[in-house]
Amino acid sequence: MPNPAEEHSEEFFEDSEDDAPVKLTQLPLARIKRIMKTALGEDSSVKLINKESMFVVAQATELFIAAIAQETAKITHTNKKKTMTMQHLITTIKESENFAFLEGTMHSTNGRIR
Amino acid sequence: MAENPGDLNLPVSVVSRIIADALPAGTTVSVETRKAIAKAASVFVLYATASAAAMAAKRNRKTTFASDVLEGIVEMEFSQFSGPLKKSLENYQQNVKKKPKPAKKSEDFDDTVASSSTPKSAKLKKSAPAAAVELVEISEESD
Repeated sequence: MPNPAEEHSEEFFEDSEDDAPVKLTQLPLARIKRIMKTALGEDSSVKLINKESMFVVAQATELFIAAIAQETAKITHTNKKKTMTMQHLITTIKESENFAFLEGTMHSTNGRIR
Repeated sequence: MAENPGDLNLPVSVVSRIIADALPAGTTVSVETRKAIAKAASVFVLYATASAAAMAAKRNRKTTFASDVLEGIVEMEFSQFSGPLKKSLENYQQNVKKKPKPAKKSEDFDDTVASSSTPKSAKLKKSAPAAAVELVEISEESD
């Protein structure tokens, strides 16, 4: 269990003295932090987010993006198409349990809704 | 690519790169779909946070820790992420240890949500995936 009192540097991919810089996340942590704070809400008993949890959320989100892209690619492939479209993504959301939490968030602009 | 303080979207350029890395070379993804996946990723962050907060609340804590996030991820039925996430976390912890500790007065933890001013566009709601989903309908079509 990490010691919450430990100081964590803001720069997750800058290393001034030691080895070559190691980039640990691709998604911008400031943005992740902002979204996370929005999620907590005013009436939440949980008010603070420690930096490690921000990092894990960022990492998990990257895994999520890869996962949903790969799932959707299967549908693109099944439909013998070369380009992944909104319709394929919408189908993934509808058919996959994992991504069911996204139902209702996507609309295709070609007129068809979900 | 105008960024406003209320922007809860993740940069499409970065999301696009992650998508491209995950797919075999030669797969094209329409711009609209990439934006949609970016939006989905924001919803995922909301959901993951709500889930982690629930774990912390269960233990009467006011702070979310990495362990809460990990537990929450499993609750969300993304347990396949657990292994890779634990490894990344270890890597991160080791990396952070290597760094010289800068003398700064900013706190370890983020500002309390209660004291910080609410972003103009975001409505603060109780944590629940359904409620979390609504939050992303705010800013559209921004890169």
